[in-house]
Amino acid sequence: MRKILNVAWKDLVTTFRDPTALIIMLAAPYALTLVMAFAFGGLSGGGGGLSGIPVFVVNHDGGEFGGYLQQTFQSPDLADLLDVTVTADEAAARAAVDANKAAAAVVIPADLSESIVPSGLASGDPSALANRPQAVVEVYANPDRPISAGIVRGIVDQFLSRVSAGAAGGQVAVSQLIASGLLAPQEALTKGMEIGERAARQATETRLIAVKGETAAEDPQGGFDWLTYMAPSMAILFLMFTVSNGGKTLLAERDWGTLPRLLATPTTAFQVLGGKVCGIYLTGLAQMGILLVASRLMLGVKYGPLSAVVPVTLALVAAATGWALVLAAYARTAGQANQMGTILSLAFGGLAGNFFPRQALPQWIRTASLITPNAWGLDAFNKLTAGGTLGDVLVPIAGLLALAVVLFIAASVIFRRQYA
Amino acid sequence: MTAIVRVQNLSKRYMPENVLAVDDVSFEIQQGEIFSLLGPNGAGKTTTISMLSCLLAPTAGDAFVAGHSVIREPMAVKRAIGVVPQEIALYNVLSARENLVFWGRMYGMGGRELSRRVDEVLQQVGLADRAKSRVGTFSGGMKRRLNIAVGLLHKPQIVYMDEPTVGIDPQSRRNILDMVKELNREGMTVLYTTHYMEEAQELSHRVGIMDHGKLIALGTQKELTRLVGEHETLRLHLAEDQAAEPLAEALRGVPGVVRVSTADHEIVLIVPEAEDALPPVITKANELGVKVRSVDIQEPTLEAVFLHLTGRALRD
Ligand SMILES: Nc1ncnc2c1ncn2[C@@H]1O[C@H](COP(=O)(O)OP(=O)(O)OP(=O)(O)O)[C@@H](O)[C@H]1O
Ligand SMILES: [Mg+2]
Repeated sequence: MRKILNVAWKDLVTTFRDPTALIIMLAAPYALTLVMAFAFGGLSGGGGGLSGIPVFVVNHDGGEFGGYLQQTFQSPDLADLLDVTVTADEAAARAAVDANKAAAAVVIPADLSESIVPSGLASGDPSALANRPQAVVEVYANPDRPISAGIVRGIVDQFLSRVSAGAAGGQVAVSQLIASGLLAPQEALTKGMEIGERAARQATETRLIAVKGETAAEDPQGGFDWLTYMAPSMAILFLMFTVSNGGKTLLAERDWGTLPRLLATPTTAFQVLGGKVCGIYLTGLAQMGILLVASRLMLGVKYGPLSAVVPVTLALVAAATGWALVLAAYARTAGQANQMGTILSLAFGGLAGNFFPRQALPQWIRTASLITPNAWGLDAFNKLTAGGTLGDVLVPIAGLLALAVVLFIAASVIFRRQYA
Repeated sequence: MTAIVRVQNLSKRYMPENVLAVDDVSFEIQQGEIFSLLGPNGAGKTTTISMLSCLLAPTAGDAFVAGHSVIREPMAVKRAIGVVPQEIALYNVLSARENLVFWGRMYGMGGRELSRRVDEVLQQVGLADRAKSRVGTFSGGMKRRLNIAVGLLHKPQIVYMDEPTVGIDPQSRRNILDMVKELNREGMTVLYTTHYMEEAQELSHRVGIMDHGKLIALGTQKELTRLVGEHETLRLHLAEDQAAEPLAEALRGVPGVVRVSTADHEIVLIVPEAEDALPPVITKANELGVKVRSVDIQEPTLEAVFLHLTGRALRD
């Protein structure tokens, strides 16, 4: 075991001293994360961190719902994340955004409540439903702070979709109850919401209110957060480069003459191979660790609880190492392994959606991509960045481990055929 | 004297190329001696050493190192031997010291003992002041010396050195030869391979001459040169612009000339009596208009032995 670790440690040190390897392992994925997030998501620095995001809330609505939305922003849950200024002066709020003093201004229109529960309803006028206005809650976003503005928009979005889903289902029922005299008009609102919440689960899909986004650079993907997607995605893409480079060193050591020398020491071939495998694994793990921590600290990407991130990463690197071994076993020379490694890494990246949101790929590609650690890894990280916990990523973890087992077996079969 | 290595009818046939690289070779190496395998490129020296290091399985025969069979007890054999491969086998991005520590651990060493031995061998090969430098920054000669140091770390009972002076400058080569002699004086048994006749001559107590996978002669230098008989070596150095072959061809017909070979602008003759042979040889050269720059007369060398046995020069 000491000899295995000796070999593994040597490989780890060797890789981290190689400037080219460092660029591919760390600098390239980090830079590409920023470039891709900028190109697609309009990130341009000055994110302002992910706490105390300055937001102006302008509430023109005299009704209940404007107040609810305003309270949502002022809730203790969001107190750390947001720094909310409530004002009646819409122009001042917009000016603050323009002056980069705020990430966004949320403008609640006067007819918001009316658009959800028309006042006519309370006085028993059924036509009120049909004639209710279309309300637009505007998020006036600061283009220099796409991440922060995205968060604000996300909060508004979440609030509205909950309310509108509930309202849409509830309105029909409520108006009938009022008409039949079973429900006092003044109770309509609360009752309606109550019924609506239940009805929402049965998928009622009339979006009554729209969030109007106003950013300089229009985001074609809607609320898609490119940075959060790209940070783990690029880490995974370049993990494949790193491990296949590690697999290549298995052949390179033969060229360097160090492999025969290793085998001339009182060490079994199993120990030497084990050391190499551990070396690849540890190097991959170190790379993922550094990239995840860096994107967490410097870009503010949130990966969720460690209790989920750690097992996902361990399983991901195991599956990637499996591919590296198959590659090393199959290739005849280090040069060949290098080429195959590059092709494989890029092909896996394309197949799994490392360059492009995985959700947007056709189903058959998504299915085919399940042979890649990239796909499972991306799925897992997407779930985690969306707020998932260990329970949500058990399937990808199992997929990665199964992949690792199959690949390790395949590699040892090919090794045997090649070298026995 | 006890034999530390016993090689018994060892053969190696490379498949699928079907190359018989080592052909029924037998010899013994005694404790405390420098034993050289001398032979031209492709003679089978490295293949022999690889089998004695348990890196290659013999096709036939067996060998015993420190009493252990290379086939049945490879681990015991590997513990007994130090290996200095023909190709430099070091990690360039690690320092000299880190390399030694790494390889020492592969021999199961560790802790203070390892660190003390690392210092010792660094001293021994004259690299103590470069211990912290990366091997990638070393000259060819320094790498060669470190390559040797790795083979000495665990105080093996015998060290195999496979052409340790290939591709380095004369001074580094001198250095290494002196080092080998010093090591041997301290009691180290050495198996040394080379295609340089001078090295084998300077270093070895006994020499095995290999050609085409066969051990064609074996013994002390005295014993080997006696094979050539009382003959002497006559070496003709020609001018740069002179072709050696036509003259060599003509000299083959001269009475008393036993063997003729050519190398670059040199013709090597084996003759019973150099002084008697010289006049007719010079006459022949004049007839053909070949300019002879200088002539050496030598006592029989290992090269002469090789020439005598194979009809070819060691360096072609
Ligand atoms: N792996 C191999 N597969 C096939 N043939 C080989 C292999 N290794 C060596 N040979 C052949 O076996 C013969 C002996 O080679 P070997 O390397 O043992 O010679 P050597 O005496 O060490 O030569 P050199 O002085 O060039 O190192 C040569 O003909 C060589 O081409
Ligand atoms: Mg050789």
